[in-house]
Amino acid sequence: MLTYRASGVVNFAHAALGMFCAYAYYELRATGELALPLLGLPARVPVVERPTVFTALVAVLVMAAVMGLLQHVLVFRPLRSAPPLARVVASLGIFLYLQDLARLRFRKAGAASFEITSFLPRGSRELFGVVVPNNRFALAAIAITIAVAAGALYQWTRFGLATRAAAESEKGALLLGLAPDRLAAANWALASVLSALSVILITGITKQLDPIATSLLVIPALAAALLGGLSSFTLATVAGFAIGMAQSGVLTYVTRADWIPGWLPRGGVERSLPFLVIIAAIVWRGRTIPARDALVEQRLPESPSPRHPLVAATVLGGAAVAGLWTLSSQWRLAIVVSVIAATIALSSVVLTGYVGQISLAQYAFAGVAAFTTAKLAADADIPFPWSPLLAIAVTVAVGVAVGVPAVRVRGMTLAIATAGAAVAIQELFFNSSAVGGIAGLEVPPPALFGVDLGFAAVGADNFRPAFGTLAVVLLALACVAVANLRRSPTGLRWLAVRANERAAAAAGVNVTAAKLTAFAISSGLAALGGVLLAYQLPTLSPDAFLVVGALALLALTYLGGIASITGAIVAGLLAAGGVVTKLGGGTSGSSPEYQFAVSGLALVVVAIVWPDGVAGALRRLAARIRR
Amino acid sequence: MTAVLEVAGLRAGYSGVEVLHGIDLRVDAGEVVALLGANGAGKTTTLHAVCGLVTRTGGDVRVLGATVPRGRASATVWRTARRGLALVSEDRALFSQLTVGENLTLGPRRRDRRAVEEALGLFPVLRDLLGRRAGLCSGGEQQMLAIARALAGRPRLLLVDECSLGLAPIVVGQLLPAIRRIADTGTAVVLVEQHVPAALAVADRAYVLSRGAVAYDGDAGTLAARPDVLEEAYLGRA
Amino acid sequence: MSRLEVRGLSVSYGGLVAVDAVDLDVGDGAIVGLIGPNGAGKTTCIDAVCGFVGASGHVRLDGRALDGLPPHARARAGLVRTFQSVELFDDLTVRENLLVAAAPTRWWSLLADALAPRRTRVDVDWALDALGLRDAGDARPRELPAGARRLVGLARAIVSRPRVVLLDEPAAGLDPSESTALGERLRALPALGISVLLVDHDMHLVLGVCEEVTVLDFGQVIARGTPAEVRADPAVARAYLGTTR
Repeated sequence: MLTYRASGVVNFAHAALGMFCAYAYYELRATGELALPLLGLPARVPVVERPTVFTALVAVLVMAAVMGLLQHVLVFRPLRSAPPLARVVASLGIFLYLQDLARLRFRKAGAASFEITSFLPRGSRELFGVVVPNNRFALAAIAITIAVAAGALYQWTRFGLATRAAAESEKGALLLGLAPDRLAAANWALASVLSALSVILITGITKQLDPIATSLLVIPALAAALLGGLSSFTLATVAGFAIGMAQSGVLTYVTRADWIPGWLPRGGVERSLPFLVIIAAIVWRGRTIPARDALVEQRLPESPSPRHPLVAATVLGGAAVAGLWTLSSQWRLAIVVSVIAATIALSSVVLTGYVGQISLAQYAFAGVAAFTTAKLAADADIPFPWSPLLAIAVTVAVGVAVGVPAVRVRGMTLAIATAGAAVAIQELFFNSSAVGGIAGLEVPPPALFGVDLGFAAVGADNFRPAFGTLAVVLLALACVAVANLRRSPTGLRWLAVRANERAAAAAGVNVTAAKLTAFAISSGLAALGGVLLAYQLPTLSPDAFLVVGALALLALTYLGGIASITGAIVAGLLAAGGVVTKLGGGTSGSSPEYQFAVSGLALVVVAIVWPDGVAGALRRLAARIRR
Repeated sequence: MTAVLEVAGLRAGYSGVEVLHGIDLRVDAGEVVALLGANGAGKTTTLHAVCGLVTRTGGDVRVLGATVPRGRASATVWRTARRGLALVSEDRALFSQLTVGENLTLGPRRRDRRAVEEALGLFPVLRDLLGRRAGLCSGGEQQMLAIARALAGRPRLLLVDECSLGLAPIVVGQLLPAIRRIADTGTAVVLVEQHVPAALAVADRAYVLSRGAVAYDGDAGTLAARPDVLEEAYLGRA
Repeated sequence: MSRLEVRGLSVSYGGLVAVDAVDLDVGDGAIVGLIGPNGAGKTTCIDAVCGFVGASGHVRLDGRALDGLPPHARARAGLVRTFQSVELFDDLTVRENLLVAAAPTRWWSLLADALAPRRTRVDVDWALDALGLRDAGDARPRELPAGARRLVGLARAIVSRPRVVLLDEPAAGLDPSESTALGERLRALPALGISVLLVDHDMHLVLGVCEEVTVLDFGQVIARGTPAEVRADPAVARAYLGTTR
């Protein structure tokens, strides 16, 4: 139910900021110390001896305002004219940073040292035959008050007027001598304060505060804001309430209704239905080809034509295989983890890098494939090469099904819609009792022509190299195929669509078909990664395919270079538990604790200064050496 | 008389292509100067270079005696706007989601009821539309609003780009005399206009641009009597 | 029957009628001009003919109705346009820009492309030659001067050997000598089997190259005829200069 808008930037880290502030608030109430959100500063400063609700709230909200300002000045202002992807990635970086920092700063405190308390009234009363606790009324009242106050602020004050004006036409505002920069800064501070306040209020009631889950509140909030067209407070608030009520309303309905098949997880229906409705609404408002003047000149990461894919695949694949057969079992695990991550990252390269479609559903696709494989192999007794192949086919169908509505939206809107789709897949499919449920599944090990290709084994043989070899070979084949596509007319059409949909259509390119083939190829690659993951993991559980994973991997791929195959490989190497982590943990001895926080920051920096990623930097370096 | 706008040897262009090859202009207080020429001659670019929307590559632009800096576009535009320059751009740059009244109150830098009232005095039609969303107004109403909004900020120098574009002749017949009255209050006005005779009827002086250079400058009345100059510039026939 | 036949084409945005019942004909081997003052509806006309904006009325190419088809289908049918702002694919080289438009799509393309890239099988060099761009084939559009970028846009339009090309201000931003050279290139197109509809502000170019010119004002056709007839038409002078001399 947190609904508001910052000026012009859709920020994935918004709820994460609120989450951090909520932690800080509860701790401040308990200990009188305020946790600071910046690495390098002291972790905590004492504020007051015995903070009251009021002083604690004021202190935390001031911090929220400062955090908002810092985000604006350090991150989003430099990215003002950057492509949407760079802004998504930057906000993902902040998201990862804040989430990891919260985990670090508040971990040792734990639930014991401070209590999550709400200052809203207790008790309950009955409304339309449903018992509703008083604090819900208070929360609703506060939410409406905030919405009305914000609405009034933007409707009637000169500040609000100027903000709306600047959001619509920066040029117009400048010509009138309004300063869009200062307005934006003020709005960032305001939005951050509101986020912090909302999260403190909501968690006070739900008693659930978690670095990841709370941060992900941003998805329904963004969906509501999008439905409000990112400008109407009334619509956004109504949408926000509708989502909240639909979630509880659907819950009530589902527990009574018997018509919903038993294999669908009930909580899943509750949590995913509003998303589906909202995605439908967003998509319905979209257009297949942008209208005249809707195009913005923007620079996308360069997409080089791969030069010697066969040679590169042989050399790198050979090195990986050699490593698999010679190194220790922990190294073998790291290599396989990297290979699988690279495969899934490759799916992002195709869809996001080549065609410009920001999708946060890649891990969900991987999950669909993994669970389908498991199900087919374990229950239907379909033997090895066929069960994963069937699973990949199923996933491609799902990918295209997601793609059909998604071709009507682009940029940030698509990112949110795919995130919503990922949540829906996660809730409806993974948690369904027919598929796996929370308990997890064990996948029978693969075997071909009598050769055991399973990964796990007893004793020193654990993490057997045969499976790793298979994974490396498949990744190498996938890379060569993607390289071929990139150099062929299909790839040219993709890049043409990415560069300019209107001109592509004028050149006879079927934009819809181009995007759908990319969705198909990309979900196929994600499925390949998912299948490998199914065989690699000791037990298969939905945790492996959460949206957060997709966020992190997209971010890493961007770091590696979103528009090139090298980027996918780099992302794989950097992935958690992959080769680089192994190297770092093995040699430097530094604690890997700050890994996410640091990589989050690195991501922000890369998004600002190095839009082509590590791969681009390597390429420029190579060009300089050649000269 | 003091020059409100002085332009000397102005060169400017877009992404490496020079559009203006050295323009000289001078506009005094209380004067309407028409800037004429065929499409692509560089009229709009001249206006944009004056207010800083386009960064000039050479020459000098002085507004009210102070040189317009050559820094970042957004900062320059903001600074010249604060100095008293108002541009009514070709696309009008209205806030179409805001009402007519809200657009007008954003004109002056502080709440200034009097300035808004005076601007409304020039365009009484707008009085009945104050509560309407600007995006829903007709083209002519939008154009009047754009000019009125600029005026509510009490500019010392008003640049009007293509004020009659896409408007019915009767609307143009109302707009241009209003611009004359604005100049009579002491504001300097530069008028870029397709509708040549109408522009020359209200202008004191005129410049004709051709391919990024000044092809003619002088008295508006004299130019009106020289159809050959205009036809050469517009239709390319000698 | 003319090659491109447009009948009663109308476009309205909200309450504003941008194009009002326009008829146009482009015959075999013809170069037809479409002119008019700013805001007359010329670009909207091209948008509508090519399917980029919704319109009422009929568009026929070689007698085949194209109404309701999306832009890419009209392009594949042989009705191709260029853009006022050129709009090249900046990530691709000039030759790749042309390949996008030239390479045929079949249902097996995806599979074939994944197994082996086949970029060299389609010949686009003739189009580069036709516009004098032979040496620019491997350059990126950004590295070229504005005039050459316009020619690349034109080359991309003709490389699929369309029946009719609709050119939206191809001479915008060109200097007089470049504009004259462009005129020569355009005059050569009918010999390649391509008819041309030319929208431009450069009167030297339009009146010099076209056999027939249509004049729009406020979305309506106000004059039609040979360049000499249009030049002498008082309605045209009125539209451009706003006078009734």
